Amino acid sequence: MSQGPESLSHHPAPDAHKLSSARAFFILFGGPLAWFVQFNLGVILSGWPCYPSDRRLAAPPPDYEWTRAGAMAVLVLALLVAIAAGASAQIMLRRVRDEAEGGHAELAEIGHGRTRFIALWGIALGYGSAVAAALTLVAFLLVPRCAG
Amino acid sequence: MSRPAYRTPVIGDDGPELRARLQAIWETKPGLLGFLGTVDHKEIGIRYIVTAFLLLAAGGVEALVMRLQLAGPDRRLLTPEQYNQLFSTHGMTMIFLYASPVLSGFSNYLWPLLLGARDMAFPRLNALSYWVYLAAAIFLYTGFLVGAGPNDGWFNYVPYALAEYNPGLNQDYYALGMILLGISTSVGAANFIVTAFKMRAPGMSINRIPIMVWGTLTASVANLAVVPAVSLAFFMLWLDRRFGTHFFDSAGGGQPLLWQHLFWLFGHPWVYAIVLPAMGMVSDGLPVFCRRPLVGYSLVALGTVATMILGFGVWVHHMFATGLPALSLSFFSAASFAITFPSLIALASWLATIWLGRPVVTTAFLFFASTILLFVIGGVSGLMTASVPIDLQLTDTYFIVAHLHYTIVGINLFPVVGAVYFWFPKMTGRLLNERLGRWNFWTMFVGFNLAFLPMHITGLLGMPRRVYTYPAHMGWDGLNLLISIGSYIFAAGVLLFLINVARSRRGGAVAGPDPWGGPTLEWATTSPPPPYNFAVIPTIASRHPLWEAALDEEEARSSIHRGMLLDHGKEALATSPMDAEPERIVEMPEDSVGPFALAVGLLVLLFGLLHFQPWLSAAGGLIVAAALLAWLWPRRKLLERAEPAHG
Repeated sequence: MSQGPESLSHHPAPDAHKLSSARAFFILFGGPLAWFVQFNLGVILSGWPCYPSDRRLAAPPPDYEWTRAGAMAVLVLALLVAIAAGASAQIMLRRVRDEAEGGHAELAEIGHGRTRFIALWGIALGYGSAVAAALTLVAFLLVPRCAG
Repeated sequence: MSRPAYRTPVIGDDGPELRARLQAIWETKPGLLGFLGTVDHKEIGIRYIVTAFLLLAAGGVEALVMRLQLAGPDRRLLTPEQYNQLFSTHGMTMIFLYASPVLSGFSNYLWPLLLGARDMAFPRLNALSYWVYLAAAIFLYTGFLVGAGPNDGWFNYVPYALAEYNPGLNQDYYALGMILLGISTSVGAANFIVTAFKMRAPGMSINRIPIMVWGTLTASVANLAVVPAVSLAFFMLWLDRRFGTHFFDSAGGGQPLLWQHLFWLFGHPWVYAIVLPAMGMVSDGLPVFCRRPLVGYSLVALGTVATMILGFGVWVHHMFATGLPALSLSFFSAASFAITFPSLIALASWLATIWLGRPVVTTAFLFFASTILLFVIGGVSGLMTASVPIDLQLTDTYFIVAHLHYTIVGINLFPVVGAVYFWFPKMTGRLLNERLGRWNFWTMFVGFNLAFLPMHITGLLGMPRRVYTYPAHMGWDGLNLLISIGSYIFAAGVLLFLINVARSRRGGAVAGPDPWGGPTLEWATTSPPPPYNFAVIPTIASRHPLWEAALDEEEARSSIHRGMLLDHGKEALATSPMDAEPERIVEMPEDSVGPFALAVGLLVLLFGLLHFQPWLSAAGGLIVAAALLAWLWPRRKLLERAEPAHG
């Protein structure tokens, strides 16, 4: 397997220049961070009004009603950010799809081309985080706030 | 005068002269100082694995004694307090002292070999991580041996853990020992993260990293994030117990539930941390025996990371029965359901790899493949507990005991034993005995399922966990006898494994460098590998450097026997995080007893704090300070001091 020195210089990401660090950060971490923020704020906003003091109430007092709308607003915002991250990754994948040989199947199977590998992850993490956040919407529709 | 920080590395060929030079530079000196001071990742890795297996054996004996007690109703082999200590110490041992450290051992041993590096990024930190782990194990087991082991379960709920209800030293041993173990885990995690991003062979871009590296990297990031939560919790518990603070004491304005939040904030990601690297072993090992690459590499790596991300949002599913508001529980329930999707990717990939491959059924293959079945059983029972109403019925029953054992034994111990069969030849140069291996596998597999499958039923029949005995005529007698018989068969299987290791270490068939025809870099070096791992730094052109000719996935070819020599001293190569482009030559530290001395100092300090002995604490503190000073003193050889100015 010994090769000449010229074989030591195959770059794994010929299209790396097309993906800036800031955009790579957004497409990789935008979705998960949005999900995590809505998750924590949602738990706080939905749990805190049930425990304004030591004992759990059956329902939040009237002056805490805004917290439900607040949690929903955070959720919608997180959904938008996560979808934006997924969409940005999708656009990026289109730009770098020819970075290495093989199509989408080879990309998922082998992972040729580091830049398009990142873009593929961005799509899954962005849209996946949106789905994870959206799952919580079901709870808002079906579950009582305090007493279970 | 030391060498310049930046110079162009010489490219050359592997050869005996180069190897002799590197051997002299990298090998550990013989004798006690060499033993205590070695920073060779392979030596540290093996120590981790051996120590973890010894502790596994101890935890296993504890389980067997418990199963004798529970084999029939109204048995009096153990007192309730003895039983409390046994099941708590069993949990502590298996989860903290075996399951995670054994994976650290494999990763320590294998990472530089998988990544084409000469060592981990921080070899002395690596040694410290092991010595502190050993010190923590000694400290925790000292408590157990003097009758002061943990007695409140491995998750140690307050208020029972507070001094008012638990006045002995049991909880102090546990609290201080866990803080010490947290240091080991944290420094080890930091080392893994830097190694993964900075020490890969040129060309090994992040889309070419073996899945096992993804698993340990992900677990390490999680550990760095969550270990502080549990260390803080145990520190606060110790303050409550010994200094009268009220963090967890409701009578003093504290919050008992805060313990559960802090513990599980750590505890659930920890569960993923002890299975993801083991899943990585299966993902890297199974394809070798299927004679084809892993199906869906990109998605499996992604699934590993996504599982850990969602793993940060499931901790309250251990607290569904605590009376938290219903809607806030739903967030955790949703996350617990969502996490099944990334987890399923690996399962689907393993099945597809077997289906599309040409499986060669070895003992390692059997252990890896059986993980799939055990994972499904543990996963389905876990999915059930993601539902709040179902969890309210199942919590604190034997169903949960069954679930957690299918998860931890099924997705940790089985892959780990498979990994021993797979990588033992690399570590020792000898193959494990296959015939004994088959007996080993089937005895473990049958015994395990006989022991833990019926626990689902006893749980559904209402048998609570953590009872030291139970009355007759509850419908549990026959099943418990079956469980006890199964646990002894399982233990016999583990014993066969240990016998196989002991016999084959010297008497096994000679393995050669690549007995399985593996695709990754560890199989490119000798078995066992030399102290410097690779004579030249390999340059990577694909994910399967040793299968390139057969697969022909890419036009480029990796260069294994020609590359950077780095033979001017104890040198390694630092590369860029994304594409592994060479950045600079790194001077690696020599062996040192500093890490060992630091661990000894911490152990003495902890015993001083435990017994409120100021002189002992001061002595420990002095040893710690001296060890740190000696360790961190800047040395010119490592380019830690500026060159003197020449006039």
